[in-house]
Amino acid sequence: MDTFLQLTASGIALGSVYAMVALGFVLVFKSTDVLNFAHGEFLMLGSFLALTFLVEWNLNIVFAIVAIAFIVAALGVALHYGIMKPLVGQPLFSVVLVTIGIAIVIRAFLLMTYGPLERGRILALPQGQLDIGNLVIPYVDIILFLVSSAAVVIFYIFFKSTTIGLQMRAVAENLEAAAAMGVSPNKVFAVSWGIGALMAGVAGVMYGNFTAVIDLNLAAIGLRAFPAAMIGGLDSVEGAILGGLIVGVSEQLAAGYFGGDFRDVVAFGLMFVVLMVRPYGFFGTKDLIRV
Amino acid sequence: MSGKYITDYREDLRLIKTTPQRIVLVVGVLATIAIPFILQIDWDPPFDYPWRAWGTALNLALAWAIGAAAFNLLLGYTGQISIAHAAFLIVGSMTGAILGQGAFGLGWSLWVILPIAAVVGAVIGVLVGLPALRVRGLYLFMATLAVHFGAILLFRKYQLATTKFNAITYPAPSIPSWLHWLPFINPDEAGEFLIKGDFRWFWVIMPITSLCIIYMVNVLRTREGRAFVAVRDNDVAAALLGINVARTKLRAFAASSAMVTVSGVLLAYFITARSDESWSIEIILDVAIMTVVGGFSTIRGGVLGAFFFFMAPLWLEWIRGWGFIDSVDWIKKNGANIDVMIFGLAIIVVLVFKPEGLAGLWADIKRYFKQWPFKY
Repeated sequence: MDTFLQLTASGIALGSVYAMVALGFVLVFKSTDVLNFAHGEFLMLGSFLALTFLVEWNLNIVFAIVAIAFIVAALGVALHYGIMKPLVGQPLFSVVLVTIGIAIVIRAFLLMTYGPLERGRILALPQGQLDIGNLVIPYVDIILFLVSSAAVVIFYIFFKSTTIGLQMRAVAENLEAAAAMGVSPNKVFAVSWGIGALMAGVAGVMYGNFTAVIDLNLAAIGLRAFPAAMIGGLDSVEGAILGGLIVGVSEQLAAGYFGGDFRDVVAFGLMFVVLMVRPYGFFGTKDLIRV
Repeated sequence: MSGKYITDYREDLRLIKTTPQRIVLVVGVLATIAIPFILQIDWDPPFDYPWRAWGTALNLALAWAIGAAAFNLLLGYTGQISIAHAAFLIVGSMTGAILGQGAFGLGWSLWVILPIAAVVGAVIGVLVGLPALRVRGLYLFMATLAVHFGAILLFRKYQLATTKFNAITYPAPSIPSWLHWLPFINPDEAGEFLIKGDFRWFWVIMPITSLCIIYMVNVLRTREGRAFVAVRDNDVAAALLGINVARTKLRAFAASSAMVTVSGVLLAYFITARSDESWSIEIILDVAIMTVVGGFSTIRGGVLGAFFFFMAPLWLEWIRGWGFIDSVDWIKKNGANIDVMIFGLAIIVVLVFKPEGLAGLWADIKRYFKQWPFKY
């Protein structure tokens, strides 16, 4: 029972990061219909930038997070205007392949800049731990959870009660109708890319404090946004949060009981089962098929 | 326009219809036969051109061409987005290890394993294709991603159970002794004729690749092949036409997976060692590069893409060796990474400016000459 609680606690911390990543991923998919395969690379970029900012330059962590969020968001917006915009109307899979191309370029860039050696985790957050009975919760986990929750809540308020959030929802609902009402889809797409990348970047900084080593395998963590988003429903913001938590907890439990090799398999296996039983996830909308 | 008109069905069924096509075929076959011999010649080309490295790259490209073309069979013709294709390379290399003559294999010869691998691949392909009956598009893409991670785990566990942390090795296959009377087969002192080195492998890989490609091209000309295309264009409409959509999808999965598995066996035996490191998630990126740059809806695209993927690094390395570029320290240090970056940019550029890839470029050139001097 102690092991179970322990694993669940760290699973929730991890899951909150996944929720944040999945949220950005779902946001981009919801408004632009692009399945962003490079989302993991955005996260990785955040982690590596955190290495530079926090370890090499020893900057303040709050400042670093803001700076990295800004850089990654700028990159997302640039990607939209530079690459994704001309691709509107292309078949679905070619757009996915373009994001794979972006992923390859970011990987190569990181390899060139940081070299192939793996780095230790970032120690910028307080390193102690909280003991509750037999339960040991590192401060890092708590901060991770708090920051992710804050990001999710801020995003949710933004999405539900600001004008641009309303526009985003309108574009996701019906692009033509939104455009006819004077919403600029292009601007909404750009904002979505920016926020999506920003979420991944901040998650990358936080995850850099949590993981054991920082190397190019971090992209696989970003890919964990796929099962998280799928389980919740690919076009549902609430679903992404729930999905992230489910994936995080189940992954930690599997790794704890069966061994670390099962991490990827459990996350994606769970997604597979959900896809087979309920193809549109828990909260996703079911689309109709017409001839 | 060319003045060739097809007047009966027999003529229409032929793969090679016109005289230029016949000429291209003969020249192509002669060149294919000549290339390995030319590569054998001890000759130093001008500008330090990396002539010798061609042998390995050609073999790799040929073996991968099967996989890339099969990916296009499924994606381009049947419209099923399956990323599990890289997983079948893993299935192939595992089949090769379990049945093969390595330390932990059953000791069967490669010539028996290849057809068995095709059957194994087809069966597993049907299983992997089952989700395609329930979900489609992006959801299928995701479901097959799960299969990929499953395959990686399986291979890792198998490797751990047999060779521990070392890579699984594949011994060089040999020609059975009752075939030693054939020309060009000169057994060594031990009385064996091992397939080793680029030259001998070329004669193994090239015919198998040709057979597989011809098989795939021909599959597409049958009723089943047309059913694939119908399912891609509109599966509900295809069902109304009397096509069994479920069976068609599963057939496409079976055919294409069988081919990829064969490709996996060939690759494993040609490279001689495979470990879980060689089959990471990045293999999906490699397949993506090949299919996109080649053009992701034709069999030809897959083949061209595979050649691009393995030949381009040679050329890029050659260019980097030129005096003025060689002197830049940064380029020297990051050579391989620059290649990868160029590949990634190539994907983006191709998809933004020429979505049909190299195959589309080829079609454009052909059309230009066919219609010259007219534009349309």
